[in-house]
Amino acid sequence: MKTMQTRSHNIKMRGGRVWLGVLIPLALVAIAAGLFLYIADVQRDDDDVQPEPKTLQVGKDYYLMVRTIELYPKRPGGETAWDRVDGSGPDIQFNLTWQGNVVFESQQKGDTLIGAWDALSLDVKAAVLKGKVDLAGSIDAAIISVEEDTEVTIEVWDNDLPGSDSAGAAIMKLEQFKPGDNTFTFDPTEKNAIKRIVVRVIDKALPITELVEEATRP
Amino acid sequence: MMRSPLTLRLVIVAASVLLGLGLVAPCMTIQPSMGEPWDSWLRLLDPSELQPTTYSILGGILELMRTDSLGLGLILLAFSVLFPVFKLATLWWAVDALKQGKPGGVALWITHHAGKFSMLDVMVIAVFIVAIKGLPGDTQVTIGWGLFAFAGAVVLSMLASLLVKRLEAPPNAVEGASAEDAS
Repeated sequence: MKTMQTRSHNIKMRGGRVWLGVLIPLALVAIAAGLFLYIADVQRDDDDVQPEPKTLQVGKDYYLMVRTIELYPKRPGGETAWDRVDGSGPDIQFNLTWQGNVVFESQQKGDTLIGAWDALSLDVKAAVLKGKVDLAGSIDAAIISVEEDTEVTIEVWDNDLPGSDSAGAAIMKLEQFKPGDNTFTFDPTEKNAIKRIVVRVIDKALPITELVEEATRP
Repeated sequence: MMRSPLTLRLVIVAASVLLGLGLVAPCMTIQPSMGEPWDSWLRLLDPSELQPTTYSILGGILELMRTDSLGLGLILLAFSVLFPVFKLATLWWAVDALKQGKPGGVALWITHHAGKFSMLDVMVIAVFIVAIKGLPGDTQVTIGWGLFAFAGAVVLSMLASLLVKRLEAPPNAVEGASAEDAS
């Protein structure tokens, strides 16, 4: 009698285990999926953590985009207005010199103390006629290559009809730059009326889509 | 050969792991393209539109359910996620039952009939890929390893179902030919 009861108990126990066994495939599916998602998440975090270089890397090419130039309200010396005839603001234009050569000259921004330039200038006519858009060529910026002890000069002037009036020239060592936006401020002097220059630096090796995103980022 | 419950359990374990991976691993990557010159314009105006998108089976289903295709999402969820998991669970149940000398009963009946729906989601993905390839432009679809893992899980679960059937049948009924050879 006792043996029969034990057997019956064992069968019930096994029945319980049969139901418990059903959970094994469920657990395996969940564990495999969870483990994969965890590993993918860790890898994604590792990718995100990669530090952006704080300075420009020697030997690499970069775009230098002058985004903004702000001038003091008076000409260098601080006594004369920009336009003595009608009191209008300066027509700001600049060029960028690297290794003794002017490698970029901007468009003129009229009657303003703060000139802002777009990073992209698209030739719509050429695009429509050719049916193609040259994105890399549309980036309105100087291309420079970083070497030891290299500097760039940004020369700014007020572009008037009778002749240009210098607003000053800023000499900047490339060691001072970092990828992204770089803001430089200057004090007014006898030869300088530049108050602020914002230069965006973008790695030229970026894929074209990222390049455009970086260039058009506000 | 292949009639021991241990081998069968290993097959179910492998199918479960592959199913888990297949549901969340990258299944396909869609690289949108409208062809030139439109791509150049889009790159300029909205570069995010040209970013490749990678979906897993589970991610794709959730995306479907999120974007006004709740019905289709629920059908795929049922046949791609719930049904295969349920099938593996019943297979394990059937193996346990048969090992203890009990008939497979409901569990076996379910596992035999479940296999018929196992490839539904793979077929949906295949139709989807053909549909995308038929669109104008140069949109590319690349298959990810998640789909192969999922297909592997489906094949292994079919194999497990077959082995359970053989385990249930008397040896001479399944291996009649070899029994005759032996005699």
